[in-house]
Amino acid sequence: MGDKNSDRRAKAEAARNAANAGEKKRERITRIVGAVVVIVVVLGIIGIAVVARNSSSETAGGSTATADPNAPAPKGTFPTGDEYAYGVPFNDAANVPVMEIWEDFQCPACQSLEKANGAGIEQLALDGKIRLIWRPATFLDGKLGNDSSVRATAAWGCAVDAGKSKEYHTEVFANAPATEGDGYSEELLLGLAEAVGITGADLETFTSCVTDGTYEPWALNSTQVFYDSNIPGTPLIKINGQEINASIAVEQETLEQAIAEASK
Amino acid sequence: MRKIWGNPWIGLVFRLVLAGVLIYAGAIKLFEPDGARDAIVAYRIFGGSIPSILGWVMPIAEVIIGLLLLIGLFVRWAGFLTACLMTAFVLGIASVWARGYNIDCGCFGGGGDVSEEGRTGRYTAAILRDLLFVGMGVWLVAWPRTRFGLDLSPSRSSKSEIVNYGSAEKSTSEGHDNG
Repeated sequence: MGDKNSDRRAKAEAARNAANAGEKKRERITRIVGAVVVIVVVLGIIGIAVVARNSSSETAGGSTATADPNAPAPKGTFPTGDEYAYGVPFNDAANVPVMEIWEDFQCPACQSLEKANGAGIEQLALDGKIRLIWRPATFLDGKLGNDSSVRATAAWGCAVDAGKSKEYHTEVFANAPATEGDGYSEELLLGLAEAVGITGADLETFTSCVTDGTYEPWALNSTQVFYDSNIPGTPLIKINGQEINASIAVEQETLEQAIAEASK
Repeated sequence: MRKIWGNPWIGLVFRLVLAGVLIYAGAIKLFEPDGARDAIVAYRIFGGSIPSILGWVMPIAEVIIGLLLLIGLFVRWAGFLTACLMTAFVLGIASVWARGYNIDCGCFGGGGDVSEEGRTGRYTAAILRDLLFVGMGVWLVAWPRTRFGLDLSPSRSSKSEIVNYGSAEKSTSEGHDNG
């Protein structure tokens, strides 16, 4: 009797163990299959994303320039490797706070800043209260799918050579497209030379400089610095290396306060 | 009456909500240039090449965690990681807010600097939403057994959990009847 009972118990135990083992095995298979499915789906999504990105990153424009640290740069701009590399100084004063403005010619907020207080900022530089450095970036080309920022920046570089950095800068923003993304035509960029008073031999140099895209690599070099320094967007204003809110620079009064603070 | 706390149907809803949020948020970032890099840069927390790396790692992690939650595999771990991720987002947004920057949180793509308009509402909404997701993640850590999941056992002792779960449910319903 006793033997029979223990025999039955042993059999039941064995059956339970077998069921348990089966369940464990099933569970392991489920986990492996599930993990493989997840990995495959993730790789699939990444693959689709890469393909989609590659097809959209082909810019609509004709610019094929690439960044090149040895490329020519407009006269007076900061050289490769400098703290302000590829930046455009305006009325470079000494021993005063440095004001850097990162901007993209296709950025509506930069246009608003320029409209609101561009002249005031330039006046501060002319008065020797700040050392103004424009830091061009063309990152919006990638976002908008065109090449207007790099072409406009390169054309501005040509105007810098002609001694019209401030004037051309103002005119480009004054002629910014009403709709972000519409960009700048080459005719417009060439035509602005007249508005800023580039004439004679200078005009010829300017025209070939723009049509050749001479300074497009320089514009892209500056954009590379923009990325490498993790500048979050444009406009981005720094006084002595410290970011200030763009709304401070919009008002001359608050900007002067910020500069006074920095000069202390 | 079924009990609320640990209810496997509620767990299922939380799992699917988090899965939808994570897969959508992760996938949309993968389709942007440089992933979430630009959005991360706007937080002005990380320097160097960290934003570029995180810009890819974060959305991929979001999609993986989301898929695990969707099929119900490794739910406890996925819930834990979700809660950690969402807590990090809450801290990030709070930090940006405290330092006075106006950014788009970039939670579902986009991101970057924006105008100051509606800042308080925007940040508050993002933080409250992410805290809600933290709560759902914590729930799944506490009660990873949910309906229609592939997880047979959330922990090593699969059998005892199943038994416990069954008996717990039974005892509450009995308790209800008695009361």
